[in-house]
Amino acid sequence: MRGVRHKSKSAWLIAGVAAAALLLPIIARNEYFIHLMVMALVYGIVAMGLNILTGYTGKLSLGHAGFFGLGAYVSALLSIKLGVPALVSIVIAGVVLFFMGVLLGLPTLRLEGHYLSIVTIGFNEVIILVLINMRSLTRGPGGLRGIPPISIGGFELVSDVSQYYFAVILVAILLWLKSKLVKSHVGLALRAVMDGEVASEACGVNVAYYRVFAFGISAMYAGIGGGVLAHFLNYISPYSFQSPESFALLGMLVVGGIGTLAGPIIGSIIMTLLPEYLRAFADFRLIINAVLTIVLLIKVPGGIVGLFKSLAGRIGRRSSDGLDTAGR
Amino acid sequence: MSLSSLLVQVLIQGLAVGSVYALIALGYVMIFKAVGVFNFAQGDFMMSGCFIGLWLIVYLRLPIALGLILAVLLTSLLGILVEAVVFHPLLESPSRSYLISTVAVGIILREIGRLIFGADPLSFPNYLGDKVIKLGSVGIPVQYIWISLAAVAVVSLLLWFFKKTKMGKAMRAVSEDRETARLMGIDTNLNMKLTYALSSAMGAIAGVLIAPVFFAFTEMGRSFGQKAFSSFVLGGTDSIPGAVVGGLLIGVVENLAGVFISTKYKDAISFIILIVVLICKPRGLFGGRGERRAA
Amino acid sequence: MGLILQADKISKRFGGLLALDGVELGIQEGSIHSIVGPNGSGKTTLFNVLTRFSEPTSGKVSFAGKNIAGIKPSAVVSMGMARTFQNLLIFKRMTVLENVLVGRTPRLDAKLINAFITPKWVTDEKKSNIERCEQILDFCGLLEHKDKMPTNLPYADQKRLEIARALATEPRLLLLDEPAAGTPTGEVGQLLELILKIKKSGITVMLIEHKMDMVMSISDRISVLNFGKKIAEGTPQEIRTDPMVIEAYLGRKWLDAEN
Repeated sequence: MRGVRHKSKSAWLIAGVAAAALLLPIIARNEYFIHLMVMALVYGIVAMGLNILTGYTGKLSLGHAGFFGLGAYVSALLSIKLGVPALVSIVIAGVVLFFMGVLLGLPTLRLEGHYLSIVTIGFNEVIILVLINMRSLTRGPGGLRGIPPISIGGFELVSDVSQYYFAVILVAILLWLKSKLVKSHVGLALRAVMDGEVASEACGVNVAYYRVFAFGISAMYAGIGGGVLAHFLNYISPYSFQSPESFALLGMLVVGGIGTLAGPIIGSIIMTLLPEYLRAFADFRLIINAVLTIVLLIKVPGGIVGLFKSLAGRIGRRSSDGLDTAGR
Repeated sequence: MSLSSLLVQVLIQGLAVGSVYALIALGYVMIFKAVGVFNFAQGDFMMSGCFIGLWLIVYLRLPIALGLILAVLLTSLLGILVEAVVFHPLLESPSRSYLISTVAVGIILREIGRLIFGADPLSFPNYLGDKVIKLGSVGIPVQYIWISLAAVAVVSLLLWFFKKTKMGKAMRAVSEDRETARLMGIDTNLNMKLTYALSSAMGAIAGVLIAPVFFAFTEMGRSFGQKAFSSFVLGGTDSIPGAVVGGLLIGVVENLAGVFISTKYKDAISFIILIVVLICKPRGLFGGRGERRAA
Repeated sequence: MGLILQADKISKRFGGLLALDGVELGIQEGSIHSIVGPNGSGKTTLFNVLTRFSEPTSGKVSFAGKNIAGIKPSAVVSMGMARTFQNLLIFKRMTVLENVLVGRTPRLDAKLINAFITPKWVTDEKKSNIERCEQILDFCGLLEHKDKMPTNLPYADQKRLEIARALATEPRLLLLDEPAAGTPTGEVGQLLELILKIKKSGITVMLIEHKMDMVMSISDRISVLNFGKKIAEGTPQEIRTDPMVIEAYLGRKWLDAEN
């Protein structure tokens, strides 16, 4: 009975959020704001991927901007050099990045501890070095121009509003896939691995295998996000994917709530919009981000989603207490 | 110049730079033994020490020797402050939180450095001298010799401190087993602060040693930090001699590769070494064979 | 019935210490085979080597006729060898039922990709899997606690949960490392009953246990370890009267208890 009510409550919540998301461009008739939301959603996709790793295996990637950038370049180059349609090259970028993640995860994720974090920092640096130095392919520090936009049935997604709706739908799909993962047996096994490695192995869970898979999926999300970014902006440069961006992605997780479904999206929206309204402090952007991250880690470790959950829990408990006494 | 004299020169440069990596890596070792976590701000403590020295000597015109000593002391204080404000409250949180906070601290230090001193490299007073000693056809810049000697002195002092002094022994006990040490009446909180003071001091010493050669720039913490990290893993993550040998090896290999392979990707060498070590010898050069597995 | 597990001259060296010294072992299928010995005699190390959590310095382990050298512990579980741990390793942040569900991992047909692609057979499997786990919890007398967090249960029940989780992997051989530790004397009988029930269902049991009366009453065979060496093996009756065992392990305490 309570389960049913809980389910319908979350269905209402989803419907409400969906309606708000779809109506947003009509309510806020501000092109620039919509553009910011598009960026927030694209970063949200990457943050969602990072969350699959950090939230569900406890491991840290400090190089997700590298995956993001690699996805952007793979997708852009496929479209520019080989004429692959944007949608297809985005999917290919996701698949390529999955294998890239597996490749990088294999040597590091079988070790206990946080070796992955340093390997991903190095990976991020190397990717930037390669993007800058392989001029013949990537056109070096100047970046790639003239990336074709996404086209659906002849309709090209160039306006902010059309890109916004595409991003909303994509985020919804990726969120749905992520929730399937979390609820599946694989999600259960990942939680087990985070809880205890030896115990998991004793349950027949191949710890390294599950972790590497999660890391692959995590990199895949980043790759898809990168592909979408490339075809939205039609221009990318190596400098958009440097390691401070990797940290910014982690900041989004911390703010939104590590290990929660909606946290990364909420975090990315806040962390994208906030600096815009604090533009007077543009020079302090990175510091504000870092300080905010530390303060949240110490004071609100569950992030915004955790905060709401505990608030809702408190209210819910009070009302159900009331019901219980009434029933008696 | 003949190949052999070039080789000798590169070797000496590699050893000098490597001993700087080793000093930074010692900071990683101390924190890893005490908390079981990597301190990603370690490189930025090195940068902080370097810039505090620059500020004291160039802007406040303090005598060089006094400036250098104060720089190291102030960086230790900075380490204690950061531990108290940021790291201490996270000691019981999941390790990922602690780790994220060390990255955040690194960014904050780096950004403060950039806001005060700008992003361009600044020249550091060359107190090491720029003489070159000629040995046949080989020219050895005297600063490299000073750097190496200073590093040897610091490491010896550190080893003596941990082996012989009461405080050093207590710190070792805490890093072996925090709970037991606490039950034995050792003030673990004070010890943690001391550990951070020492590890950031190591960074600061490294910073003021290398700055006359490489300039002071706010990104130095990142590049030196990454290479020192590779040294730390190469040395097995928990031993002082390991970190020293790791640092020297990375310094030499990287400089050789810079000359004989490609300067463009010189900065990627330490990363490649790190990956190879993690694949083949995850316990470092001195650890036993790969028992540090997930299960 | 034949031997389900064979250990051939197993040695394990930690630094200068020889924790296991040429141990030979053969476990009869369908039996309860106990390993006893004083603290530090190498019992848990032996379990770790048998289940591949620890690499033997030398020697060979065969399970169901196959040499298991070089494979991962999780693969050993898939082959049908499950274990519990002396120091209780359950998932503290998962419910009782979820703990047991994790144990089903090697028996599911759903692969990694089925996290995203879920045809009907996957959802059906998920449902029947939950039912199967509830049966196992019932078998172990834990069904009423299935939605609780294990840390809210008494220690003895947590130990039992670890057994349930191991049973969920459908083992042919189950290794129990001190299952009675922390169990109040009054409840040891229930645990004994559970182990006999497990044996009855066709699963071979290996047991490390300090409670000697329990070992003597339940075991078909007992091996005695001392300083990493197997010093005796036999039926409980034979062990009880073996002079070497009495001297090395049971000592005066045992004789006193007998009187």
